Amino acid sequence: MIALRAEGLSLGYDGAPVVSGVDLAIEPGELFAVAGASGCGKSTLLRAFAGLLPPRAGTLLAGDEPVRGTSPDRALVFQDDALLPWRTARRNVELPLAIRGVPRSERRARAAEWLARVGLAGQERRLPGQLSGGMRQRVQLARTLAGAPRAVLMDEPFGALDAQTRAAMQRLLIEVRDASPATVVFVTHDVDEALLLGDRVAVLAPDGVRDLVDVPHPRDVDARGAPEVAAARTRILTALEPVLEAEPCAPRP
Amino acid sequence: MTTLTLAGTAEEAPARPITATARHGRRYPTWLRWLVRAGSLATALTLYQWVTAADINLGVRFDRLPTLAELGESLGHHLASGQYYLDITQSLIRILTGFALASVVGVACGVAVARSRVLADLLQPLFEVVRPIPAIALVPVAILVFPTNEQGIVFITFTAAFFPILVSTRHAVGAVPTVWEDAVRTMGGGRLRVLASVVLPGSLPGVFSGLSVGMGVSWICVISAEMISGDFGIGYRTWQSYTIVDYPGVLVGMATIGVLGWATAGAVELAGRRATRWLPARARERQR
Ligand SMILES: Nc1ncnc2c1ncn2[C@@H]1O[C@H](COP(=O)(O)OP(=O)(O)OP(=O)(O)O)[C@@H](O)[C@H]1O
Ligand SMILES: [Mg+2]
Repeated sequence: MIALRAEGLSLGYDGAPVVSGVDLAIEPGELFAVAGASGCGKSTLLRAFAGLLPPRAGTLLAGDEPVRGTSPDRALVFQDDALLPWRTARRNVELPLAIRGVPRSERRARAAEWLARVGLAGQERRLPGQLSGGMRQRVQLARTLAGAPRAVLMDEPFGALDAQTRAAMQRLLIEVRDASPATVVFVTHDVDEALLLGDRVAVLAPDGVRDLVDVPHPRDVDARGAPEVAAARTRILTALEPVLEAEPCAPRP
Repeated sequence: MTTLTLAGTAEEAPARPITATARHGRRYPTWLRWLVRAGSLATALTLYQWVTAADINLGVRFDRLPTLAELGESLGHHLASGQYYLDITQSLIRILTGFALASVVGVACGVAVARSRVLADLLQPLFEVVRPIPAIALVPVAILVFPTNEQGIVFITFTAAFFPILVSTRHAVGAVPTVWEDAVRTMGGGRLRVLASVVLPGSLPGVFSGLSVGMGVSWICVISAEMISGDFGIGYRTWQSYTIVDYPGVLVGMATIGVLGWATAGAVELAGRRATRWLPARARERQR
């Protein structure tokens, strides 16, 4: 578990900054959801947390240390296909274990176990090109969790899954987190998913965090119909709306 | 309007499966493919036999070329002499040594130039200046610099294959999607891990196209070098046959070069296919 903090953070690529003025304090062990319109810089924010994108301005802390580069402690589940296409599903999951110096025989067993947990037992020897989009996403999830990172950054990890598999993966995430605590930051377009999984939900806009909502009864399926959950839902949706309509999230000139 | 269009599509639907049948029709069995390939070569030989045996003279004097029968006889002599095999072995040793060196050095330099700005600044200008010089133009230098003829020829073969391999590798490394590297880095992988697990395997398809080109250029240069300065080898022997007015010998030499070139190119191609099985295009080929 590790705390992640952003203060006055400004991020961008070549041109104008994509997001600026981001202030966030993510607690160790928290499940933190990030929502926001397409193109508002959610993936950019995760890349910065992962250490792949240096901040333009402001500070970015992992624990008490400034983020200076990538680390096995902060693993990222990419939005687009990040599996190595020449490695089988099993060998992809073995990769973080190999980097951590786990002996070969143990790697194999642990990778098989992780693949089984994401419902892909028997698919170990398939190449990513021979798997469906949702299966690839689950292999990526298995690969990330196999490395036992202290913080897991997930960019729309359940986007391509059907309702049942999605629910199963959400349960798996909660289960894994309970067994080996980690801070989880996940990006989602699904407000209900954010409300089901997250402790808090941040709505991101180009000028920073538009709203930060505490989720009532997180991870309690029975409380989904409660009025305070409905209120939180409405609050997130209103925070999302003006972003969609008044400010198209294109990079500003 | 909408309903009409929909109805129309539904009625046309039964005609659709034709496309599927056409696709299946394109599958043709492997034995037939080999038959077509063999037929193509046989047709060319028949044509050759016809223009040489009928003494055809269409401005181009085919009547001066030896017929298939004469060639067969010459080939028989060649096959019966130990010299022929010595020449083939000699040429193969030269080309394989030069090509192997060029592969290792070419891939290493290509990766270095593509991945490091400092190394690119150091090496790239040298490569760009030397690259336009035809390898065969290095013969005088090779004769001056290398103590033995053998080393000179290997050096020329090396230079010929080096540049296509270098350039292909450089481009292939540059075209590897960054997300693969990012993924390995967020797992804690360092520079070496990225190199071994992402850059090298990810650039293999491009590297192999460079190896294919390099192999072809190597043959051109090894044969030319042998003709100029050799004392052995299939290129030297072919030229030797010409100087003693043994035309069937020249043609047998040429055919030998062709077959050897085909075999080595096939070997590179096969290795490339094995190493890049994961490419989507390869998967589609297998289904065909
Ligand atoms: N590598 C890049 N180079 C330049 N600009 C980029 C790059 N990646 C993203 N951008 C720009 O940054 C902005 C934010 O992109 P980002 O991927 O963070 O959006 P997002 O919030 O994750 O959107 P989505 O919900 O569609 O995934 C976009 O305007 C995009 O054009
Ligand atoms: Mg995104």
